[in-house]
Amino acid sequence: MPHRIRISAQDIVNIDDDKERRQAAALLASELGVFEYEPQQDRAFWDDRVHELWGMPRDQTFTYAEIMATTHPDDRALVEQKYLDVLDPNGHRHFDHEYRILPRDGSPMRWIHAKADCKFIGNTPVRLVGTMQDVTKRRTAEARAIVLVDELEHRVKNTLASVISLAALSSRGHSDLDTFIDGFKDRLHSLAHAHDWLRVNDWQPLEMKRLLEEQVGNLFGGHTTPITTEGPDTLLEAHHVPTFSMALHELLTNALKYGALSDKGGEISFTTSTSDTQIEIEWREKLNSPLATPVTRKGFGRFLLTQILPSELSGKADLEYAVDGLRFTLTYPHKRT
Amino acid sequence: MTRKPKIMVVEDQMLIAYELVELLEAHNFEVVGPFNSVAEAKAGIKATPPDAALLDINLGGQETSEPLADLLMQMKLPFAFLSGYRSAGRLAQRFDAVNLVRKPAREDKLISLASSLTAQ
Repeated sequence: MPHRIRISAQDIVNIDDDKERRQAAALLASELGVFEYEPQQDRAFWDDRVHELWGMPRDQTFTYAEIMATTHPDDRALVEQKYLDVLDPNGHRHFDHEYRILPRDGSPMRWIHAKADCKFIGNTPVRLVGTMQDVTKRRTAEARAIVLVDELEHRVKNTLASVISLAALSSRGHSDLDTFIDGFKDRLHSLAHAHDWLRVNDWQPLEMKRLLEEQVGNLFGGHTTPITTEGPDTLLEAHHVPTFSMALHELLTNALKYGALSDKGGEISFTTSTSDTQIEIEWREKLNSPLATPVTRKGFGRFLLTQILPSELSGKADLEYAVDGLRFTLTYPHKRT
Repeated sequence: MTRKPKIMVVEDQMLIAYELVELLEAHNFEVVGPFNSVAEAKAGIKATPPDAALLDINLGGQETSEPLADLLMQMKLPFAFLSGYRSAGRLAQRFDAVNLVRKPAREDKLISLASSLTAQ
């Protein structure tokens, strides 16, 4: 025979107590505030959390007009429309909306999510009861995500546009497809590395000599090179980094093929200097044995160094092919602020 | 002999700018610029008033070509925006009947745009 359990009236009261306590604790944990509104009396009753959200004094009731005055002006019309709908016996009888409020105590704007059901007697709305939650954090994160996606899309499109331009400008004068493709791939790799450093550095300005070191590392791995750097640290704005990196890549590959890094042997010095108004950069190659005639070259590298890079930095550049090695100088003004 | 139509190019990425310049010059346009900032473009407009302009919206950092668009409107000079931003439409909306071309743009599209702008 099964064991009989006796439940006293007191036990039932305790269970009810537990239920209420549980609900209250859950409400507290959920960060939900509870509100009630009586349309016929135009009175709103709020719990402490809702009062806090709206920055309104506690232990008071509020009217519809007072609530609307605290609602963000841009969101009022829609809130009003949804509110009229929930009070309409032929409407949805349910309110579920996120909107902005400007707390009366001067706290910063908040996003709230309000959900409520309306009770009717016949066709008369008598009681609107529901919850409110502060969803500012989520809305801010969502807004930021939208900005980031837009920014990412812009960068992708701009990078693709750069690659198209690079292909168009660097293919000129090339008759041998294989050589062009090899050079083009190297240029794209250097561009890709520039983007890596920008990302690692969170799109903040980058130090020029470090860019050179990175490009050298990219081309030569851990091998030592006869390249020395001098002068003060010089920061480059993030949006100039891709072009500057490509310019360094052109200088390095040129030196590797024809200059101080080729089998001719020699040294390279990279010097930065700054004055109050401008920044100067010098790339100087010194060949071990001077050439009979200086090597002059035309092509994308030259165009990038003497035209594209100085224009981008609003400066001037000079590329000089001397018998003892190439010399490239770039002078540009400090960023205007 | 008819004069070559003058078109101004404003773009902060000079790699893209110079390809555009070459393209336009190859199609018999005279290019004013390329300029990579509002200040330089304003000086350029003063020195050589163009017939029309192609404006990249974002000019690096916080600068946009919006003040140039205002100036060109005042001067009643036609222009089009170039941009990779999806949200660029919001700026373009400020200016009635202004063209907005998404980057990267096709060459034939750019040339027909330049032709229609300078013909206005």
